[in-house]
Amino acid sequence: MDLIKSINTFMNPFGSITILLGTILVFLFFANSQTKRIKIFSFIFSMLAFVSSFVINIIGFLNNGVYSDNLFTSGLVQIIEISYILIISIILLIIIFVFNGESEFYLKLNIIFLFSSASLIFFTISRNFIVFFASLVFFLISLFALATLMNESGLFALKSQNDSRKSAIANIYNISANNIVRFFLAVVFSLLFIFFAISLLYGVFDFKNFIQLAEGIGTYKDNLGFVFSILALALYLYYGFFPFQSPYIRVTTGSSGVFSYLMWLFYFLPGLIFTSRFALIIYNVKEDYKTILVFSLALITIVSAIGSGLAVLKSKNLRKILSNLILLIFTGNILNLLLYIVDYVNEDGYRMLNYSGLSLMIISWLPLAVIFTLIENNTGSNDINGLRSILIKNKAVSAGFIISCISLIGIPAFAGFTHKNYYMSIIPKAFAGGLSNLTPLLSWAVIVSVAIYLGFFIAGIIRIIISGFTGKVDIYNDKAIFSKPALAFIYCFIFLIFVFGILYLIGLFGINLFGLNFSSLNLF
Amino acid sequence: MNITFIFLASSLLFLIGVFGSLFFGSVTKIIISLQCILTAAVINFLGFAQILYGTSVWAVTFVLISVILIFLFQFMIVFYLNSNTYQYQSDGFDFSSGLYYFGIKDWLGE
Repeated sequence: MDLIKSINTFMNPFGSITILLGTILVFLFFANSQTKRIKIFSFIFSMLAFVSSFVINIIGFLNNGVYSDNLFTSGLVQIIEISYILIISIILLIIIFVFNGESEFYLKLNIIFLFSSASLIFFTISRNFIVFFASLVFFLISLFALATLMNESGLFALKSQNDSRKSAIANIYNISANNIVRFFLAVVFSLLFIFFAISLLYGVFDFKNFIQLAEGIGTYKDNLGFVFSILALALYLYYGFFPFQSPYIRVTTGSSGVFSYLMWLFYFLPGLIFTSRFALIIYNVKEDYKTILVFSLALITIVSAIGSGLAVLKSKNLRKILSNLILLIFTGNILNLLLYIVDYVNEDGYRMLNYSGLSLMIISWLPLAVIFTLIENNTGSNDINGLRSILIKNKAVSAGFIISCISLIGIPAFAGFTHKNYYMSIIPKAFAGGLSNLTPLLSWAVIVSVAIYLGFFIAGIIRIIISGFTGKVDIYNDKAIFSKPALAFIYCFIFLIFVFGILYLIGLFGINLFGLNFSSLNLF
Repeated sequence: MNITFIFLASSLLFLIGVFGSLFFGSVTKIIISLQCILTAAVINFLGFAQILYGTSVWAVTFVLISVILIFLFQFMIVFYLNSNTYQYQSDGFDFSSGLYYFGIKDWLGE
């Protein structure tokens, strides 16, 4: 009985990590196997591991509540963040299996992917700077290992080619390898900024964890300005906002398609978690540095929204459009921070806004990305002009394309409406005195940031829709092949767009359905 | 040795590292510049620990773990580059434009 009690206590927050690491241990015994059955078994086993981690993550919290020690802390916020990580991991696991299931490296990919998810969970619950930094580096190292393994197929293609063909393939392969190296050197650059900032924090006061920092920032605020500038720069470089986006854009457009999905869905999560930790700390000194904070955040939002928005409007490369859309979604996190600093939203509202951005990425952006990948596979090119010739071949795919675009724009009754509804409501509210605690200049900075962010986001999506209807039709490309799993994937997400969109509307109008009150459902 | 000197020395190294990482196109030079930033942070940690707090167990632990991990990361990058550069590419260790490329082609082009 005592054993069961001790297991129950351990479930929060280490249960999820233990399951993932245990799965890795099992897979280590046949990591070099090439048998198809073993690959399918490992996929199913990993899927079960992620699902059970998800369940244990929630059950552990319900049973044991908040957990905190010197190194880790886990409350409701961490549980929600871990749930998002695990949902994204399940989606990525399916994508890796669909595209790399036949690869001779599949089992190794699976093991490293499980390790990266476990590192990310460690990062989420970390409290001490040692665990925080170490888990972040482990996560990025595993991401690098995944990138290089996924790029290996180019190298092995070289073995069976004649010399002239070898030369062409080798060049493409080398460009891809160079992109990966450049991107990860840029990541190391931003990591070292974080390392340097933590060293300065240690010099200002004996800060060893985030809680000490949050408590001590009021006392040492005069000495922390430089440190926070370095940390903000590190975050900016990590996200790769305009004009530092080139390594990220090159690695997503010039390497394996599956790795692009890993970059889009996985790489930015530590940035988001770090920003939210950072937000709660700088909120404590917002009254002293309101002007500089509001102007800096507004400037970052405007520059990044214009940079990424113009790229979505002008570029013809499908992957580049998707990459910049992701940058726009994560620019929303900086905008959320701005709204939190000016007290437009409270702490819960700030978190809800962040989660609604993540949900927008998973539910509305992902089907669009899968459709673009199908188009890339069918036409063999990344050109947006090929969009129409593929869309007219399959009505279901074109319906999926339009629905996900409409959801991204934020039309009511679609899932993306929740994300835009908060932002849309700020402009009339600001004019009605909702931002009365700010000077007129700061109020205008907030309003302009929101307007530019929304304007470029919506204009970018409208441009994608127009390209889908006005592009060239390739009459020679008669056969467009849409695999059944890919179509099922799209249908599933289209269904979710409608379900969450309607549930949110029911909650918004306070309608009780079957005795259930959906008004608290703002997550989607 | 006072704390101002330590802070100025590490800040100078940090700036050299940042400038080198952004300015040079060669991977070797970029990695050396990154080492400058790493060294600046290590000087800060050990200097502050010695002068301000007397005890340095936490700082030394952090420095050891972080330096090992960052070296591992950089080693993996260099190893990957060395082991996979194919004979047809002669300038495999040079980026044409430094770590970041600020040209309009990467931003708005194809």
